[in-house]
Amino acid sequence: MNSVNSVSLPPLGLDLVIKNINELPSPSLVMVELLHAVDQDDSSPVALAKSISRHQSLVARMLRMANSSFYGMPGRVETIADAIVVLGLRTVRNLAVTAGLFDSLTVISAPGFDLDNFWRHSVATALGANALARRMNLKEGSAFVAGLLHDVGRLVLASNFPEHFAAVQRYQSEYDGFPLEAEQTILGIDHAAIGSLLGKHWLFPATICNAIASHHHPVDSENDFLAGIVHIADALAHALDLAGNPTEMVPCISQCCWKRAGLSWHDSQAIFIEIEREFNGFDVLSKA
Amino acid sequence: MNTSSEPETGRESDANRGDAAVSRAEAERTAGRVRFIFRRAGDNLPTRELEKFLMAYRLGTDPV
Repeated sequence: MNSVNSVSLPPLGLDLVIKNINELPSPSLVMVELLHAVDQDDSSPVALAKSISRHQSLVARMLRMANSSFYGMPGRVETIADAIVVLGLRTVRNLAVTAGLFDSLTVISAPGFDLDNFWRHSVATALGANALARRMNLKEGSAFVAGLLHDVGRLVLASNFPEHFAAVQRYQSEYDGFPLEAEQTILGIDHAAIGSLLGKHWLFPATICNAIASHHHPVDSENDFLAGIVHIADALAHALDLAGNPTEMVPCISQCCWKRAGLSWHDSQAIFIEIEREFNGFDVLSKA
Repeated sequence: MNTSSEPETGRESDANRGDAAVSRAEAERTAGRVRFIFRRAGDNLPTRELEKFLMAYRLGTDPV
């Protein structure tokens, strides 16, 4: 038996996880509708502005972000329609989804969990997934959302099972291991499975739930393209070292996903630049 | 022996050597951090290729 597991913890069965997930506060209906619209890539400027405008706290947060000095228009963006004109549909849609999910998820209390680090990695992965999807002519909106939510199971673990989460962290620290292998060793279940369960409970689109579930082990299938994109975007985000994690570590990349993405040196360079540039715009999120 | 027709002054050459040493030290720190982040890549070829690309990106060179 390894030393980190010497204090016996009750098993973390699927039933217990589901029971806890059912007790978590749900995101607003408006937020769920926005996610589905983004997943379908059918958010016209008018529909997007209307959808965001129904969510007052989202409007306030979006305008604070759009007026931040990063976008070079401080004090000049007064409405969501202005924001779409100034920043572009894709940026507003991505900012709205990020701000909305940030509001929904930060109500989950998780003492000792580095939420800032978690968000920085999630946003970097979302931007990477968006860039990859565009390059591969696939749905950018779904890719962004799936990237943003891919590790949401870690937040559930930290908030609902703090002792288990602490044991996982001790294992990782002792063996310099990946979160996934530490969770499977200590808990018998991992954040990918837990995140997918949360997504289903919160009525997230099925494509997003599947991508969350298999982002560490995507199936070599055309139907599993989103998981493959998130899988590579996750590696890009770790590689770019944007989360601020001193023990950052890139997970191993699936051969078939890497081959399907077909990234040359020049493609990779362009994607690195895009992720880093756009990441700075999202960094205002935590301060907005 | 300095064969240049216009020998650089002692102050300039010290400054250049100092800048080069700082750049070298910075590049070594950057490369070290990239190697650390990829420490568990093992013999996984796609991950090693990403490491090669990232190293070149960080150092402003072409991948080798």
